[in-house]
Amino acid sequence: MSLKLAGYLFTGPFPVATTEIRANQVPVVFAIVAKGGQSWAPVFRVIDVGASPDEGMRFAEHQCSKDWTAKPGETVGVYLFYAARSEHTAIDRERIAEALRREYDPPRGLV
Amino acid sequence: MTQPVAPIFHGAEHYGLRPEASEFPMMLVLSFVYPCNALCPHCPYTNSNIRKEYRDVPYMPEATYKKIADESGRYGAYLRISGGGEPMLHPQATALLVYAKQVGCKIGLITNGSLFDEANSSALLNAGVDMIEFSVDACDPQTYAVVRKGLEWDTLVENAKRMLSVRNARKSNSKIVASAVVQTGVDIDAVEKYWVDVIGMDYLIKRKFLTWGTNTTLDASSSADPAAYLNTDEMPCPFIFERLNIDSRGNVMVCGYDISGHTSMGNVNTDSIRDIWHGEGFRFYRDKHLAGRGKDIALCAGCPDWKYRSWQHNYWKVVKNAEAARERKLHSLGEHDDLGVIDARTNG
Repeated sequence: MSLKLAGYLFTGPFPVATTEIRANQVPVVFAIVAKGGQSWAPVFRVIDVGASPDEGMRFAEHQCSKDWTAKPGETVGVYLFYAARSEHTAIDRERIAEALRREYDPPRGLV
Repeated sequence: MTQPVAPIFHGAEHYGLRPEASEFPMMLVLSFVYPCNALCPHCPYTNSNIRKEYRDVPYMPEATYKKIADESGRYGAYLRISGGGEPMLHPQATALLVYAKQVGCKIGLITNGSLFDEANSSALLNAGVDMIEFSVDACDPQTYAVVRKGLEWDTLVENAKRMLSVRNARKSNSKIVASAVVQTGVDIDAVEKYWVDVIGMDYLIKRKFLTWGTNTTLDASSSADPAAYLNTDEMPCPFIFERLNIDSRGNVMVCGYDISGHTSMGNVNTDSIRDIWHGEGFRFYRDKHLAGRGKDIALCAGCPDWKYRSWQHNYWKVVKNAEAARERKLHSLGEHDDLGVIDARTNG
């Protein structure tokens, strides 16, 4: 599903346990998002935001992954904004992640 | 002396389920296909990730579609065949549309018109498809190449003329209309004049430029008419009182704003549409909106399109006006008239 955060269109949710960004793949800015509420009126909460390093990453091995926990009734997933190297440097990705942190103040930020 | 033009009232005397929707939705908007043969700059699917996210079910399966048609047909409800791509790309498009007519549905087909031929045009008209809407968006090849990127102007005109010609010759009940998004770079009055007066369409639908908010990368700067219809602080959204949307997986979304499918009101593969329509989810939305608290709902609070919906100036008005124009036109045609291109005088 598409989810626009701070003007950037993310896609997801992907499972934290199995999602991986390899070094030869398009790097990403990621948002860890909890989806709660009723199925007909969902509420999205931004738990964490970051950017993948050039060498890639596995979300399950991220240093903060133990903090990506759902509250009762929520499910947690990874949303990705693909930041092609031709358009975004590693510094750009970090800047976007910082803009998201400012706007959503994770882990409390409601979309 | 010029008569003053009365402003259109977009609200209603009484808010709530429309009488025609008290049992079953008047309209079911189907995301029948997701692939498209065009890349229109105003399209929410071209400007989002949604097509990729539906790669597992690019076309609505026959079983899902027929379950929807069978139940909707019992109520004579409208199936709006639209959604994420060009409907006529569905491998079974014509057969499924004909099927829905046979089981009692009304059909409103929204198409870019590029894939019609003699056979499928005749089949749809013979079946009595109620409204065929050509999304034209322009009245000249240069503008068309920009706003309908990837499509051929000559093909559009040829296919539209053929559809009209066959309809007129058979005096079919199908209404044939054009639509255009009111966006920068498009002379909407010229578009109307060309498609209605010159080509002979029954009506031109002028659509607001919508952004679909958090679903897409579209921004409102391309709108040539951003004036709101509704004051969303005072008026409930009409859509939840008349229609629902269904994706190719059978998931029912609350309305056409949620094209990403964040909401799930139920699934037509396992639930009856009537039960979903009267279920807890829709009641929640209706109660909030009727209480003037629609903006308590995150989805509605973030919806930039609510203000462009109208209780009066809507699809039902288009159906009525297009039908009146069709009747006038067919009544006025003589046996020696060119059945494909109608003179301006017959549109009065």
